[in-house]
Amino acid sequence: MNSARPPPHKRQVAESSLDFLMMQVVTYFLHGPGAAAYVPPVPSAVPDGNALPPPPLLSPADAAAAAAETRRRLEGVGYDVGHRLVERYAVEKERMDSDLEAVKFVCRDFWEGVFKKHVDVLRTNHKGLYVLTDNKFRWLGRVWADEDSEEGGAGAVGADGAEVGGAIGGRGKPEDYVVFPCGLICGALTRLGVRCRVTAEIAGGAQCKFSVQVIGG
Amino acid sequence: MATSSGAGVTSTSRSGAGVGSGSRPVGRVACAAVINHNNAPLFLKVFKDAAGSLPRQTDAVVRMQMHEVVYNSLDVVEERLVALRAQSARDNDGFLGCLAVVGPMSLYGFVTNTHLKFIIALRSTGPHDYKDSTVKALFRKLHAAVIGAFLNPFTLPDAPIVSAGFEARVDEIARRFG
Repeated sequence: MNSARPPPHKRQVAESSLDFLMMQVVTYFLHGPGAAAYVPPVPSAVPDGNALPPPPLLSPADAAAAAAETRRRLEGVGYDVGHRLVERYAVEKERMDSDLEAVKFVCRDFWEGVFKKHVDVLRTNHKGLYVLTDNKFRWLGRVWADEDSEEGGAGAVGADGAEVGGAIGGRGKPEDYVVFPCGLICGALTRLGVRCRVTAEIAGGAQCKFSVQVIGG
Repeated sequence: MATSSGAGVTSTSRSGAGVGSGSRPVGRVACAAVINHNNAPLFLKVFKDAAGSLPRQTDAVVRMQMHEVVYNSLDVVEERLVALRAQSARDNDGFLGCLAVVGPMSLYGFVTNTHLKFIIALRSTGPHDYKDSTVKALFRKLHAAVIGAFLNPFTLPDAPIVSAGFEARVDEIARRFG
């Protein structure tokens, strides 16, 4: 992609395909067949002729649990990807002895590899909390928050998203698009020896703050 | 197809060693092992022709012995890692040098930023048979192969690497070394 530094393989992929893939991954996991509370479209009758009972409606508590489970799954996918990817980006890099150095590596090299930019601001309280602020987070660039609309407006998910309705709240909220990256960061850091919990907070537009809380021990 | 190519490379490696023992007195890779951050083995391959001067044994026994040797060397790896942390990061890239000399083999270690450990047994007569740079290059190639194997989404992370393609790559790397 970058002509100054050609990728290790000659194969190239259009960036937009990755953007579309990310959006579809979110749709699939949060509102589609990947969701814990997903109810497939009911066929009128099963082959042996018996009518299926209507799908039970989830109680609010169950729905919340299902939504949490669903997010956990999507985060798990991100974790797995981060876990594998960091191995590749950490090659030939300086050794990281402290948590701070590992976080710095994620901010610079890992971010550069995944998002083609560095994290804009890194803050720490020196007690195991790191806040990574990306002022123009790539995967939020094509998503806009539409407070007024009931659909919650994820522009690019568009018509397809409407097909796979789910029982889980409004769809296409910007928060949905930071679940995967949270897992990604957590997976990468865990691999580097920093056990942590990662949460994200969207601060207007495409600005996103990732809080990394190191778990002691 | 992958299996057949793997078998092909293995047979080349054997014939290569046969020629080598006659014409060039270079040492060879006797064993390559990959160990994860919890010291669980991800991959271990014994090259019997290079490990051949061990007492004549069945494959299973040679493999077992090699497992033991590699496991014991992990203690040395831990010691070296402590020493490594005392050095500045600039001075050391994770290469642990010669860990031990066991019989006809020298064991070399390498640790990655992600706490993967690589241990290679090279046929040798002493700890200084190989230049560090040569061994480092070998580790680097092996690491690249492992990264490739990790990027396969159909495997579990931290599970032993079972892949004909990966094994073929390791065979190829070992065959070209020397």
